[in-house]
Amino acid sequence: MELNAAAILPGVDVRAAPPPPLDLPHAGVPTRGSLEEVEQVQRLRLVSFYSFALGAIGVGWIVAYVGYAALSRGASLSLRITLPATLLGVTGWFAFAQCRRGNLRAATWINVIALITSATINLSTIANAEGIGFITYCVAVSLAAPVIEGREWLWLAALTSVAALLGALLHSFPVVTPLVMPAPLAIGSTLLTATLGLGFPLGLFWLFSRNHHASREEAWALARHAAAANQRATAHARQLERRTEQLQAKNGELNDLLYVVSHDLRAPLINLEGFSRALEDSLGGLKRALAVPGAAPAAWATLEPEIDEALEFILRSVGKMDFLVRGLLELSRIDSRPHLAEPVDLAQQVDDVVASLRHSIDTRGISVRVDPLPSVTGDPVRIHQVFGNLIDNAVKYMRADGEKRIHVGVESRDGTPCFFVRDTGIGIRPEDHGKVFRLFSRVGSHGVAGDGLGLTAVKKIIERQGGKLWLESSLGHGSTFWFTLPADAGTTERTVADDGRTPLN
Amino acid sequence: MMDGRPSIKILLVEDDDGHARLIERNLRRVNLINPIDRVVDGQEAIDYLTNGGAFADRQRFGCPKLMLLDINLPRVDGIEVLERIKSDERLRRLPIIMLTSTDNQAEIDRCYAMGASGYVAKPVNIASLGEKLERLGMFLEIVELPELA
Repeated sequence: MELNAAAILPGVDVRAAPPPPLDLPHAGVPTRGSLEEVEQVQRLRLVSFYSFALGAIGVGWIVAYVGYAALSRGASLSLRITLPATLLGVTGWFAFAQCRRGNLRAATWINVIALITSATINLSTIANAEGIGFITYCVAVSLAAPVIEGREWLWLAALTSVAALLGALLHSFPVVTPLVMPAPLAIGSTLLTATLGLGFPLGLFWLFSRNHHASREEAWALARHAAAANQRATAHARQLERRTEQLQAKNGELNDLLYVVSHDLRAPLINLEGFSRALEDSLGGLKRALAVPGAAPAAWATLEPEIDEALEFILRSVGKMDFLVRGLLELSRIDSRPHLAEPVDLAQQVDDVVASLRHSIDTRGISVRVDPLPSVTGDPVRIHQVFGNLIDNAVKYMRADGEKRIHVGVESRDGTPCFFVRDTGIGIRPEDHGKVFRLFSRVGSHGVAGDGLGLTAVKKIIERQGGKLWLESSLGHGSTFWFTLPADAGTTERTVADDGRTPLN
Repeated sequence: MMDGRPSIKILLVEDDDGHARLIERNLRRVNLINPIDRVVDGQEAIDYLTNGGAFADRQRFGCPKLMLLDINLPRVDGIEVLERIKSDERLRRLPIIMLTSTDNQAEIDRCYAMGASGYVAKPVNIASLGEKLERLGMFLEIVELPELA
């Protein structure tokens, strides 16, 4: 049976459902293109409203005029009013229909031309006042042109100038009999018409541009807000991804651990069961022998070694199990206890370790060299454990003959201090490099006392402190265990002895 | 080799002394009298079969006719030993019964796929192991085995 985390933590199986790859749309700030779309819709809405208004004005005008003529009995209908009013009424609705089809440009031009034409017809028939009316109209439109964005208004100015010329011609050769008004009234009428024709769209455009400006600002603010929110979401998702990865790694670690534990804890259990049964059988035999008078001594003679053997294995298995459970507890303490962050004098730590191993080092005739080591920030007990295990291993797995040397030092690689414990021991096959860090796994264990826990603990401690542990070794060529402590541990060079090294042996 | 016929020697590869003793005891209890040699890890097993290292004496360490192979072994593990034997032209016909302390189906399938002849989960079930050996014994008698090594 393979144990896995899901069996222990039901419902939590981070392996089963990997998160979908992160793909948020519009992760950046929106482009101006999307804003222009909004502007286009607003402009269309405005022009259709304007067209509608023009159409309504035209229809209203002609209805009012015809009504007035009917009421005043016999008053003749003047083309000066009926023509432009009908024109506006028809083109207004036509432009509105164009707007409904989304034909903004056509609608705008229809309105502009209709306005100019009706104003021209209207103004051209007013005697005495046409000059002032046209000049006012042309000047107003020309002045308005640069204020309002868009090329249409420049065209409008040009068209108005043409209209003024046309009006002057019509005045010289009137189509209908000019209605002579008193000069002040004519001027007022002209001004009113010009103001209506120009002021109405100008007013609308002013309103629109103000709204437009405001909504544009608002849109940008919203866009920035959305982009910021999006960035935050992306950052969160990344964080979540990282955490999931960490959880997956942890889960994998747990799986490996459970596999190892299930295998290794079962081994003594199998002995316990097997030898208990053997003991049971032996005792059964003894019991049967006791029932037969005189048979007991002979039976005891054969059964005694079996019973002794069974008991010995049972006790040994209990001891082994106790040892494994203690090892697991020790390992779990690395995670459960807080790691301190205080200044640690590495040289002092290594000196202590070497001193505690002095006896084995001397009896095996090993020479130990320790380079100057810096001070770091970390957990002194844990760091002591790291050097203790690594140096102890170097001593234990030292080869029997040839040069016997252990070298502890530090090298800078890409600016990171990499600590090492190098030995001239038996070495480890490259294919076994992964195995040496596995719990209870003892790769080259032949004839060497050990618990298969030391390197697992070292790896766990180093990784817990945020560092890395790796190995360079081949069979028969010694081993070098490398590790880093995190960069923010703040390594500082310790003042060292004059000769730059601390000879110990 | 006592009566001129090579006896069917069993090689037990087991690192745990208790397990080895239990297996041996149980095999004796089902009246198995074949000689049993024991080695404690995968490297020794390979050395034994190839008469390498400490097992150079071909007379003493002749090739076994059956191998009981624990999966969880120090140095070279059982799976690797199985793989190496099955990829060796001279050794591939050696029947191998795998021993393991778990009954992981994936592992069982893998061992069979790699050419193991049997699979026994520890605690070693005497009846099961006896039965397997009996079947293999019959098989060994029917099929003339080529001389190994």
